[in-house]
Amino acid sequence: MAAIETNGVSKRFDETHAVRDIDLTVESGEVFGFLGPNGAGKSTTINMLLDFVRPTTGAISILGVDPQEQPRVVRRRTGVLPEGYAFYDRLSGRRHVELAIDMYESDDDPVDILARVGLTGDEETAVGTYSKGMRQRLALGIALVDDPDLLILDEPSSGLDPNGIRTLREIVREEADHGTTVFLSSHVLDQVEAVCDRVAIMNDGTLLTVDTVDGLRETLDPNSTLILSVDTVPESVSQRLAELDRVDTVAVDAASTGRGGTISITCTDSGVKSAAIGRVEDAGATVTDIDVEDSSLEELFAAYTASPSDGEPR
Amino acid sequence: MNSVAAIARTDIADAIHSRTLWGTTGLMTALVAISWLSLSTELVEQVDTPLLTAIDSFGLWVPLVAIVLGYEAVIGERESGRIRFLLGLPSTRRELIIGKYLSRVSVLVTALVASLGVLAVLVFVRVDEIPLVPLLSAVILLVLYGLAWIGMAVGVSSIVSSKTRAVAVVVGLYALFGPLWGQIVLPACVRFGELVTGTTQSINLTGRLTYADEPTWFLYVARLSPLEAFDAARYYIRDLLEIALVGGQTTAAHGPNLFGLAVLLCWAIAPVALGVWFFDRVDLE
Repeated sequence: MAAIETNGVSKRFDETHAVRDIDLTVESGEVFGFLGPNGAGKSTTINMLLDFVRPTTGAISILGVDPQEQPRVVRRRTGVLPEGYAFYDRLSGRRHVELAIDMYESDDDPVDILARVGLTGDEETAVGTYSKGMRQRLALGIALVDDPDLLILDEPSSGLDPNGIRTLREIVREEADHGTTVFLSSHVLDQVEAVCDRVAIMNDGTLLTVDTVDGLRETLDPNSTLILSVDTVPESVSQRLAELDRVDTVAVDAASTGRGGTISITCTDSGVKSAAIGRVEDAGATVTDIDVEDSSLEELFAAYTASPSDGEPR
Repeated sequence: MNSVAAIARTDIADAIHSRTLWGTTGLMTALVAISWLSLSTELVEQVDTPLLTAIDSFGLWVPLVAIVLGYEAVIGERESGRIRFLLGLPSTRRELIIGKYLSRVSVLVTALVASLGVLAVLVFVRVDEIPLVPLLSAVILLVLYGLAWIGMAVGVSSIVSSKTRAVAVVVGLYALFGPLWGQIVLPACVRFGELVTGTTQSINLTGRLTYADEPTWFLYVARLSPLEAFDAARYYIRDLLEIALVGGQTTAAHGPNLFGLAVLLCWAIAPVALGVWFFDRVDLE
């Protein structure tokens, strides 16, 4: 059974089509990324999954249940980190987790939950004094209460510092390892790339594509290019680099051999980069600057979401 | 029901920390106390049951506390985004409204009992007696009256689309049932009655309404306003309690007075029920 399934889901607000004809299937146990620029309809879609907003047409099934018919059943098995949420500013973090534990009728320990998201020591502090990052950690912790079958995380990395993002990744991986389906939306592509099995890209209310991260990268230039600035360009450098596996092409740009310049190395695997740098230095050059041009999801994203009729109403 | 209780408990815990709540409760207590202390000694000596006269001024102030407590109960959660947190947890929209309603009712009842306690002490100091039955009837009536207003406020809060509108509507209702009721609505009803029946009735509409000589329909219409229903029920509930507990009798007509109590109960329930119906159908963006 699919964890999330939508069939021809559309949502119209007055005259505007926020979401058009979305067919999405998230399989049980996968980590699914939901990408798109602001205003793409991601939030409206997630709001429909959570029964905050009702579809104009189409059907939604979460863990085999229609969220509009049986919101309780869905929420009972789902952990949610919504967007634009607020807490009780005057109550402690612990009190919030206790409320969640009460409502899930779970026997989780609030102290454990808060420790998992790195809020140990702040349990008794009023949430009103929490930073944005701490609130986001608390919201993530609340989503984890009662070991849900499905985690729906709307922009989970927003407001988190690098440490928080690492915690988030670890938690997503741990949950996925335990068989939890994770559905997370983001515009921070690195996050999605790092943890997701499959990705859907949405723009202007429609679903552009659904594919694996690798599959998406293949549709674009699969290589990444390492650009090294060097004080001198040794003669043998091109040959030495070409000997490396997984190095595709080497381009040398220098005023003349023996003078400073740049070496562009196209790698079919980004893991070869440090070896390439080592070879350049072995050849007798000092690397003064390193730049990497990755075919990241960012490029992919731009390729998919750039619309020829940009700025014009469709 | 577990979710309702969990939401209500958390909401109460939050409300207890609210300065606005305690400020308004303190103000209500002070105003009720001042009203009582400023009554002339002759008047106090004349009245049947001083405590029931003293609670008269609650009629004006309870709605204000109830409005402060209730107007943002649901729409405030929507505007702040807290509803996303609460509805992300295992609960339904209906449970959310009912949990909020129960929480606000508990807080209001606590505030009213505290206020009434202070007033009862002041009454005791002045007239040296607090009969138990009138005190009990005062508690019952105040709770019922408070429920009516908090029901209206929470109901409105579940229906409107912004806090500003919620304030506008509940204050509008207060104006309608308070000043406008005696000045405009009831006189208009009387004129209408005259047109329909072709008779001229002498109804004294100056100042507080009196209920001696009016035609029966008028007694019913007047009590549609919770303020009037409250005012009219003060001695009636006492009479009912005496009949039930110690034996007694009443000169009050049962029809319009029971109707008044039913009206209060309706205001306590119907707007919330309507609110649940509306709220179940709205998009929470």
